[in-house]
Amino acid sequence: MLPAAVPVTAPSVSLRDRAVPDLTAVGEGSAGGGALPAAASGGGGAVAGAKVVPGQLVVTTTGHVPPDLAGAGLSGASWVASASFGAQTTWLLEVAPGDTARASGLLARLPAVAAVAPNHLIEPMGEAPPTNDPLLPSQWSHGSDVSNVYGAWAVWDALPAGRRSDSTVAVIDWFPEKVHDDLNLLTGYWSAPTLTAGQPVATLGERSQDSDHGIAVSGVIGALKNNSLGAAGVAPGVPVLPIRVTDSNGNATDFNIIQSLQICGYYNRADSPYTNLSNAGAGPVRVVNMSLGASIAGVVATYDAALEFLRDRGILVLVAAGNNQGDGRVESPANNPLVAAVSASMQYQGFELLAPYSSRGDEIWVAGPGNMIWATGRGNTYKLFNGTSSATPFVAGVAALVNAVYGTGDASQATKAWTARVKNRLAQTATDLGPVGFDTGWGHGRVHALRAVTGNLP
Amino acid sequence: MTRRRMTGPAAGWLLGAGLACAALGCQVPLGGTPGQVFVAEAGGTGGLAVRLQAGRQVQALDGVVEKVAFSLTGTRVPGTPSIEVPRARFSGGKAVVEFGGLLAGSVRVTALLFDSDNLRLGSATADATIAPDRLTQLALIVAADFASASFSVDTENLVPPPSSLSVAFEPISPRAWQPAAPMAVDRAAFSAVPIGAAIWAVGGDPGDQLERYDPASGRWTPFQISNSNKVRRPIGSAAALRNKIVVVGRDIEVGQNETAAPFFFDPEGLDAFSHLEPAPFGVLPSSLGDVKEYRAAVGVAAADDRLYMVGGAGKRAVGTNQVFVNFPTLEVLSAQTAHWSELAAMPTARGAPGAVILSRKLYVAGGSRWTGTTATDPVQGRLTGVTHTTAVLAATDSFEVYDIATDRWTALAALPAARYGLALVASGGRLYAIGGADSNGAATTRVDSFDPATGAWRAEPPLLEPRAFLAAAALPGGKLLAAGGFGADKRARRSAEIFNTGGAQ
Repeated sequence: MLPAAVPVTAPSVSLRDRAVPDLTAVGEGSAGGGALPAAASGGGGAVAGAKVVPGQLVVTTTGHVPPDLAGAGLSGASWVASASFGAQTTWLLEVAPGDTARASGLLARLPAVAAVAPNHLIEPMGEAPPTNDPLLPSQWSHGSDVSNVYGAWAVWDALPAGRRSDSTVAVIDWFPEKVHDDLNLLTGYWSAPTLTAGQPVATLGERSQDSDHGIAVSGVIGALKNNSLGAAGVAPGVPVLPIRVTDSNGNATDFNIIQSLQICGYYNRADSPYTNLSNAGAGPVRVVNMSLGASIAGVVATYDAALEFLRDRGILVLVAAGNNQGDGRVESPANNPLVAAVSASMQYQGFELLAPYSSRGDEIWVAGPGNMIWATGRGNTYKLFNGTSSATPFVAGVAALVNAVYGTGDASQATKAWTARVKNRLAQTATDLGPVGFDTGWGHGRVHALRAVTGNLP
Repeated sequence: MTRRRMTGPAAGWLLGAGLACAALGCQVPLGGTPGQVFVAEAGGTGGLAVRLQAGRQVQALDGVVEKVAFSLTGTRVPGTPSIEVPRARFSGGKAVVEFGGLLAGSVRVTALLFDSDNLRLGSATADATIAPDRLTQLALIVAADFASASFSVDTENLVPPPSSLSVAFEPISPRAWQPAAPMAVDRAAFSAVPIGAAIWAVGGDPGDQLERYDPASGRWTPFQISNSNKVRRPIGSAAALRNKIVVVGRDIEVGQNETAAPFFFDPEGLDAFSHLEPAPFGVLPSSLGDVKEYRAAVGVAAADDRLYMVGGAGKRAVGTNQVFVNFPTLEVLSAQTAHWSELAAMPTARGAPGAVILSRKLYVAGGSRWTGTTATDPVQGRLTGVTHTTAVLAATDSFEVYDIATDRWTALAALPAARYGLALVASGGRLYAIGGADSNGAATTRVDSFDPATGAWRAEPPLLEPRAFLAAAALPGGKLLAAGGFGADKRARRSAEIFNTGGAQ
């Protein structure tokens, strides 16, 4: 990669002309990655720390005459290139590999030498996490090489606060408690008690015996960012409406979910038959997250009325495809064509694979990062969250971003057409992984947060 | 009969020049003027099928030429294996082969002549353009001129004598990789397991299938895996133990034992699309068994009734204290006792290495290392790794060998290029380090070989396309098979290629 050594023996050479291309070559080699593999630390394997070009030193001298190498005891070395800076010149010196330490010592003793250093390999700066959430550096899903949530945040942060708070995401799930310091959780509801028109809906109990699954889902969607706490969600601070799906025995059923969907459809809507489904601090439900399901052959048609009702109000329902239980098919209600089924990807040694446990089928709409995902946990804790359960709220977060960025908040955002636009946006801006085009594992691809909120919404 | 010249002389008959033959010490009758007729005609659906007709009277075939291999390359030509026409398939000096699915565009036709030892005697190439408006019959006549060691190409309309030959993948041109038949599905992070004469492609999250490669026919045959969620779509590393496929190192970093449990397939007596049930192996339980460490991206190799699992990567967390671990661990599964034992730890911990056993020595080349701030594995506490918030994956060039007889590790000459997700295969007494990814995760075409006798590496011809987390295996006759893996676009591949090492060097 480096040009052959050209001894510099006289100060009359055109310093600038020669120096620039030579030094550029070194820079390109390092930025290109792997162009100088011999520079990697040998023997013990790659280790953290600076890498250098073997057999090269950078030397700064006073004046423009290179020191006499033979006289300095470096007869095997040669000056390769130079760059002058007023009264000083900085040189590139080649010595025998393994002789750089000795050469550095000898050169440093010369009166004309102002500085000697190895020729370090320079690399592109790593992606600095943009906020101070301590877990953010290992939120692999957020980087520009995956879904680029960081990039989408610039768009999200520039929105008027009212747009961000308008994109309410409902989480139909298991909730042991109603708060977490790192979440913008709205007052939640409990779907199991009978709903009666003209009456209030039961609110989320102070405590139940449920798992903290719903807390984790909520954190992936909207954990706050830049608050020195834990991780950050895809749409940080977006209002999350928790809806407890279990009955007092801890069971969740189709009908509990259907009642939960009804709560979502009427939340912050003028035609709500219930007296307490409103909150001025949030918008109507725009996105519903259901990280749940059961392995059932065929579509359960009794969901259709509820799902059509939500679809016609501009609400996109995202459902986890399933974690390969039973025969591995997409579970119910993810298999309902009125929802968008979400599969899960995983990081594997710098590459992205579909998680082996992710259920597959023609119903898959998109994939989300879904393995080793930092999420909020019970009692203000954080935990790693795996499965299509964690991929679905990631996609829900992106859908919330789309709603916030492109939504108007008026009646046009409460239509069947709007639901289709948001759903299509997730697919059309996704990163097509796996076989080219649609496939039964990745669907239309793994969602990409920045692209989803960039440009016009078709 | 009208003839239209398409291109001028392209390349010579090496045979005609007599040099190759002289070097090989063979006798080739050169009487007469042998010719090769290439016929292209319209295919059934959309593309253009090219029929290559060898002969009129190819008198060279009466001599030492045992077969002629035709191949077609071009910008719009799919990865097409060469078509071999054995001498027995020539009738009256003619044989017909067929390439399908071609599109209009430039093509280069290459004919290679081989003797019975698979040594190349000569070659001829011809460039042609398949025009969109010429989707009828098209004939290319290659007339060899031995006197000037050149040939010319003309076209003519011919009546095709249609008897297609089956596609074969031999012979392999020396010192270059050649396309082989692709697998049925895209695979990366999988294994190629030799059992008997066949190679099994196992895992890589492709769905529910294994595939068996038959080196004699050059074909892959898919087999359905049992529809069990315990073994479906495995990501892991596999090797053969007592003719069973053993898949280990299945942890996908979630730290669940059931996803890390080894499982076994017995491929004996299967027909295509038979269901392949995971089989119990000895008394090893279907759970993790007594594996010491569950981990991902391990190196695996087997010999003498033992399967060795070396290195690996893992992510361990207690609360938010998460540590990314490189494993130095070497464990062996004995087919006799059906138990795992821990052996001397590898000096350089790593994941995703190449591993192979040759002459009772386990070689481990390259791999990945998490670099960052050192921390202790919070789950088991006996290994160190790096904190998750500082972790950066880097490739290593470390190359170490474990002596099975003495339970000792020794460092060897470093890989010429640091990489991980490479394949390490032994053939003809040499080790071949094939493909992999660099510290930036970029897949490479690089191939190096190592001579255990001299302890030195040398560069080999590169792969036709970059592959990381590929699978590779040694084939009979000094050939190597490399299949699948992540390409430059980080998508899994189904393509495969073959290299003829030329045997022991």
